[in-house]
Amino acid sequence: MARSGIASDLFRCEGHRMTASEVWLQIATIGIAITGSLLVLFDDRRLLVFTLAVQYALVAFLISCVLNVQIAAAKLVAGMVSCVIFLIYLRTVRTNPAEDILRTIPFNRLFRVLAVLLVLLVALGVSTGNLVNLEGLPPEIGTGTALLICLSFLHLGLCEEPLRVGIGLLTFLSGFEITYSILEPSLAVVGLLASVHVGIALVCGYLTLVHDIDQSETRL
Amino acid sequence: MSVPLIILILTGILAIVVLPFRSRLRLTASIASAGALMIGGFTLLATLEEPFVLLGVSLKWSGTWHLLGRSMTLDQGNRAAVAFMYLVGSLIFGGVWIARPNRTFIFVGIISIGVVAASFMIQPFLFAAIFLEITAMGAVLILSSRESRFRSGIVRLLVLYTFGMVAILIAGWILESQGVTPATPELATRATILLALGFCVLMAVPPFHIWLPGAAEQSNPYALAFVTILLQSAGVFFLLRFLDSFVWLRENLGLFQGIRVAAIVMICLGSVWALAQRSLRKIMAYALLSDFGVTLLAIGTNTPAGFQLAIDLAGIRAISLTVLGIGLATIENYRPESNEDFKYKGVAYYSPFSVVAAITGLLSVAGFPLSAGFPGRWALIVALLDADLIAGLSVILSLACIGAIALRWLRIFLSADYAGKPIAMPLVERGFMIAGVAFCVLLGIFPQLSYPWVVEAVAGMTQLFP
Repeated sequence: MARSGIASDLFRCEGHRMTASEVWLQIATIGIAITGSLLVLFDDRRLLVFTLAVQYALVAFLISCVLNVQIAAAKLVAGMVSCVIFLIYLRTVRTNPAEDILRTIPFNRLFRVLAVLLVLLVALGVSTGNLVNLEGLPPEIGTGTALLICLSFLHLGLCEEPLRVGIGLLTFLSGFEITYSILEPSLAVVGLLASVHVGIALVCGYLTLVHDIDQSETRL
Repeated sequence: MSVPLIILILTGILAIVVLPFRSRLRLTASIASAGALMIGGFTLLATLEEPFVLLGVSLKWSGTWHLLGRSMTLDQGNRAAVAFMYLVGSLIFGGVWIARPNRTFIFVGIISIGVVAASFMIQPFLFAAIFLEITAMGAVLILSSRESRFRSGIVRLLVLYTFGMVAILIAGWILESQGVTPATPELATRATILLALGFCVLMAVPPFHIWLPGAAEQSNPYALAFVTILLQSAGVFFLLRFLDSFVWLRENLGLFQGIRVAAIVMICLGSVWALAQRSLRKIMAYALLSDFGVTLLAIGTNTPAGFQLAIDLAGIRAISLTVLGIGLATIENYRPESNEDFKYKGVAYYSPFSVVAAITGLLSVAGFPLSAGFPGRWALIVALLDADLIAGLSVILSLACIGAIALRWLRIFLSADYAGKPIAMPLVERGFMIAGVAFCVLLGIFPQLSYPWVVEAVAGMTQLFP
């Protein structure tokens, strides 16, 4: 928490001119918006996992701006381990199961693009209020949190396929942790939350595997 | 050495020991049951913070284990609850080879019990929410089976528990760092809303119960019984610890009114939905929803007797659900292959012990007279009829609806459509089921047998039980 004060000084605008750190923070936030949107739009499972890995890197960068690099690195490692777990499971299942995704509502590309645009607007609206913004912290932290949480809700609402649900949950947790890590930076909590990421990847990967085996048997 | 560390190490060893024998169900069940019994006994009997001599060696065990700036503590406040989880685990693992859930059941089950025990011991206890999320992950693995293609109920369980964890963690941060007191009503309201959201998920308050019917339809009934015992017992204990720790929460009368309303909704919806079901598994799910509501109603009374009743009901549920789960699982396991259109008619003639177990378990979950669930409900009805008539009537409605369903299913089981010979069920399986049924009836006739445990379990909550 001691660094949050320093961070606020670092990121305070002088006139209208932005510092280099502010520019990097904004780039990371835009990156998060793009990766979060792509996670909803992509169908190919491997692409989804690679996008998730990039998203973890951006989240770790945002956290490293206000906290110790070690904590950000721990989150990055947990995220990468989760992605590797997904990739290991994906070696034994199909990479593009578009035809039998467990849908809850219409899932075509145009619908998803419109939904993502709407949710991005909602997230930006939420981030301007004081719901996710904390005093003394750069506004990009709140914006990143709002973007990831709102996009994860969309992701979770669109379908019930285990892999997508897993990615949606990991996106939700990433968004939550951007802010929560600053509020509660203890190592024990960081470790426990990291284990939650890995656990979700393991469980959802396993369910994906079982789900796909069942479908293969049904087709045969 | 610290006792929490020993408990967790023993749990880990037990899980590793059973892992290679997963395919030999009877052996695994015996090892797991005996191991859990030993850990539960150790938890109850371990000498804390006092020197003692063991095999000629002088020892002193600490009740606290420090880890990365946090700690795990075993004391009078949580010792009985931790032991309870292991003893229930011992009972349930003992019946695994009869009910035959999936192969991961015992391994993941042991780890899940260890995680719930850790959630009881973690300090500050607010972080127990993370352990409950990890338990939910174990529950997903226990519930997943290859019988059913769609696993939406199981996936929903994971999603809801993740949301619940986040809500409780944020509430915990507000409570810890913002200093909530009765003098800070705005902060107290925020924290209360977040806690209410988190506990609605943990206690399966509608609409957060949506995982339950789906999971019941897609899983082995015995696995569902284990998971609900684990998650609900942890949820009840967690809620009571919150009430014990925060005075502003205890003094918030609106909160208890809200709990009572939620409980009445759960009881009525659970009972009515159960009446409308044709699937036995879904009936089990909705009967459970109604039962959770009764437990919540006991907490909503906001009296020490009510809190004790809630603990008692959670404990009794473990017995009732084990018997119900094993009855339903064996009915399905012993279903005749020739009976493709399985409609349960005449089941009582070829699998009488399973039917007796299933009906007794369901009657006990309903709180029918002479069953284990009855004394707790009767005490609650007596307490509520003066204070809150609608709440009292809702418990009676639940008892009548679920009891009627049990009797209706007994009639179906006895309808003589089946002309084959009775199944030769092994003696030990019959013995296990008879013992379960006898235990259910015994606790119904002599409720005082479970009462000392309840008093012990709540002894450490000095604010709730002055």
